[in-house]
Amino acid sequence: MSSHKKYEQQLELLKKVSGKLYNRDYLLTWEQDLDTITATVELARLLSELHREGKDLRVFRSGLGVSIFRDNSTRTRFSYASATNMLGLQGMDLDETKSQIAHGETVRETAAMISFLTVAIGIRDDMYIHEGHSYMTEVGRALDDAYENKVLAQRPAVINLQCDKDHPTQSMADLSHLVGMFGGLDKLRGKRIAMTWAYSPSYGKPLSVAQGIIGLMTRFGADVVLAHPEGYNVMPEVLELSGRQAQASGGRFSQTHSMEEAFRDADVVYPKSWAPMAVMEERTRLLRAGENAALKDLEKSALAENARHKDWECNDKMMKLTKGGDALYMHCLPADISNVSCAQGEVSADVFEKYRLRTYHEASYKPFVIAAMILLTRFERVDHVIGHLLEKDKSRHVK
Amino acid sequence: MLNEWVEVSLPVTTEQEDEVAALFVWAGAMGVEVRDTTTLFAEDRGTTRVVAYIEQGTEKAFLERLNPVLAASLDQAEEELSARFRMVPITRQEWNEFWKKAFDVQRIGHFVIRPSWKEVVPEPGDTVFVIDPGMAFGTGLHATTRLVMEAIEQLHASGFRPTRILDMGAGTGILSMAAASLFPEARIWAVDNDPDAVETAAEVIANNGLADRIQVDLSWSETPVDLVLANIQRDVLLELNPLFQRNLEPGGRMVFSGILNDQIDEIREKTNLPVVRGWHEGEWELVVFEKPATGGQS
Ligand SMILES: C[S@@+](CC[C@H](N)C(=O)[O-])C[C@H]1O[C@@H](n2cnc3c(N)ncnc32)[C@H](O)[C@@H]1O
Repeated sequence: MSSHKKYEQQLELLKKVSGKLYNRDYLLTWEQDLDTITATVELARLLSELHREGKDLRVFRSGLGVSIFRDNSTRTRFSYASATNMLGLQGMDLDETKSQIAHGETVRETAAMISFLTVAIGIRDDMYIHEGHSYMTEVGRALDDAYENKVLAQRPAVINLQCDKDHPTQSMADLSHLVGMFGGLDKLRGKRIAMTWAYSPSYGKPLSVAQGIIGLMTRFGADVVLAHPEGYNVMPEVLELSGRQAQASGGRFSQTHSMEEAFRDADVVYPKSWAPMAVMEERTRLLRAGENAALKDLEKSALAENARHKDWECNDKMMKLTKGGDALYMHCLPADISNVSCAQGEVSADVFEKYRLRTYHEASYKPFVIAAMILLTRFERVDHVIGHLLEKDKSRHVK
Repeated sequence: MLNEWVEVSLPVTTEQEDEVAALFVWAGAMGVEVRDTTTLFAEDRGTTRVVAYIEQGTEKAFLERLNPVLAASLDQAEEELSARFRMVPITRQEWNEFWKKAFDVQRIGHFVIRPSWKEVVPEPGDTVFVIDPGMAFGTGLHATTRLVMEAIEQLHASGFRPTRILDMGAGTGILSMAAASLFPEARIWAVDNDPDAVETAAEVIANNGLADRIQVDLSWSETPVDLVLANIQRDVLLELNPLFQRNLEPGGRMVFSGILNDQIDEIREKTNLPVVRGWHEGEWELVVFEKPATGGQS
C-alpha cells in the first residue's frame, strides 16, 4: 500500500483545517476548534509513526526554533529542541531571566529582534499566575506588528510550552496517548477520566496541567471529574469552559473533594499535585516584590497545608476503586513517587512501576505534538507538506 | 471514666414523632433526635426516626421503663414494638467527633460559620456568619449545603453577577447570606414553606445584619430572577422546576442541590437546560443549569 493511501484519512483531515492556523499562534487548546485539535493529534501521531519508520522529516532548510524558558525545565527543553531539530530548524535559547522587565516596549523590541529568520518561538512561562498567557499574547501581537510592517519576512509562530492557564503540548501528548490506548478519539465518549490532586512534599506546582487536562478532555463526550481537597481551586474560567464543553460534547464535567470518589469506576486517572490558585497569586506577588522572607513563610504554610492531605496518594487501594481495578494511570512526569523520589508523594512505587513504561510512551508524544503545532501554524497547506514527505521516501539515516 | 453510648431508635410516622420523643426523654434518654431526609444523619425518603442516646449498660433499664408505656401510647403490642427498635453502640470517640463538629466553627471556602458562643479570628477575605446549630436546616454541616456554598463562590469567581436571587427552601437562610455577601448589588428572596424555618431565617438573617438585603417569606410572588438556589429533595425540585424556569432570565443560572447520585440523571433530563457545572460529595450531587442567553430551549 502506498503511504498516501495508508494515511488518506489524516491527509483529508489536514486538508480540512488547512490555513486555519497559518500565521497564528498555538496558545490554548480551547481557542482551537475541534477539527484543529483532532488534526493536531492525528498529525502528531503520524509524525511519531513516520519517525519510527526512519523517515527524514525536515521540512525547513534553515530558520531558528527559538525557545524562551522563564523557569527551568529540562524535559520540555529537550522536547522542543527535538521537535525543531526534527523539522530542520536550528534551536536557539533566549535567556530571558537576564532581561528583567519583559513587558511593553521591551517585549515588542525583543520579539522583533529575535525573529528575522525565526520560524517558531516556544515559550514556557508558568511561574507567575495571570501573567504567562498575557505575555505570550503580547509577543504574538508584537510579531503581528513587525510582520505587517514588513520588518519580518515571515510571521514566526508562538508555541505555548506551558503557561499559567494551559499546557497544550502536555495535554495533547496525553490525548495522543489516550487515542493510542483506546483506539481513537471517538472511543473517549463515556469514558470516565479523573484528574485529581495528589499529595506532594513540594509546593508551587503550576495549575496548568490540571487545567489543560480538563480544558481538553471535556471535548470528546467523556465523563471528566476534577478532584482536589478544599481550597486547592484552579482558575474559575477554566472550570466554566470545561463545563460548557462537556455539555456541548454530550459528556460530563463534575468536581468533588474526594479522591476515592473520583477514582471510583474511572477508566483513566491522572493524579498530580498543584498549588491552590490563591497560593500561586500570593507567590507571584511576593516574587515580584522580591519579598524573600515572606516567600519562605508562604512556602512553609503551603507545605503544612499540603501535609494535611497525605492520604491523597495514588496507591493500590485507590486503583482498586477504578474500573476493573485497572484504570490507565497517567502523569506528565516527573512524578513524586513514594519511597523513591520522596518519602511520600503522588503515587506509590508499585502503582508507578506498573505504569512506568506507559508514562514514558505518553511523554514520547511531546516532541511530535510540538512539531505538529509548528507545521500547522507555519504552512498554509500542511496536507501538501505531509504528502510531499510521504512521496519523498527519504530516510534520515545514511544507508 | 466517661461512658460509651448506645443509640436506640424507632421508625415512626410524623404524627407519632413528638409523642415518641417525649417518652424517650421520660424513660431516661440523655439526648433525643428526630431524623428524616433533611437531617444531618439522613434517613431514606419517607422514613422518620426518633433516636435516643443512652449510656451503655443502661439499655435494659431504659427499654423496660419505656416499652409498656410506649406500647400503650402507640396502641401496639409490646413484642411487636421491641422488634422494631434498632440499637447501635457508638464509641466515645465517634460521639465526640460528631458533637465537636456539630458545635464547632465550620469553614466552607471563604465562609466561616460560627455558633454564637464561639469566637473566631477571621483570615483575610473571610466572611463570618453566626448560626447556632439545631435551629433549622442550614448550619453548614451538611454536604448539600456546603456544595451550594462552594458553587456560589465559584459562580462569583467566574464573573457571574446576579442582581435578583431566589433562595427556595432557605432553612436558616445560610445560602441567601452567602449570596448577599458575594453579590452586594443583588436583591434576595429567601423562601421556605415551613413557618419555623421562616422564623429562624428571619432571626438569623437579622442577627447577621442582612435584614435589609434579604426578604424572608413563606411564599414567593413570582418575579424575574437571574439566580435560583434550591437545596431540596428531588420531588420538590422537579415540582418547582417549571416555576423556576418561568422566572429565570435568559443567561440566568439555577443551582440544584440535595440530589442523590441515582437521581441526577433524571434531574438533568427533566430539567432540560444546559449544565454548566456539577459537583458531588459522597452520595450527594449538585448541578448548575444555565438558561441560554438567546433563543429558547427545545
Ligand atoms: C435541605 S433544606 C435546605 C436549607 C438551606 N437552604 C441549606 O442549603 O442548608 C430544605 C428546605 O426546603 C424547605 N422546603 C421543602 N419543600 C419546600 C417547598 N415546596 N417550598 C419551599 N420550601 C420547601 C424545607 O422546609 C427545608 O427548610
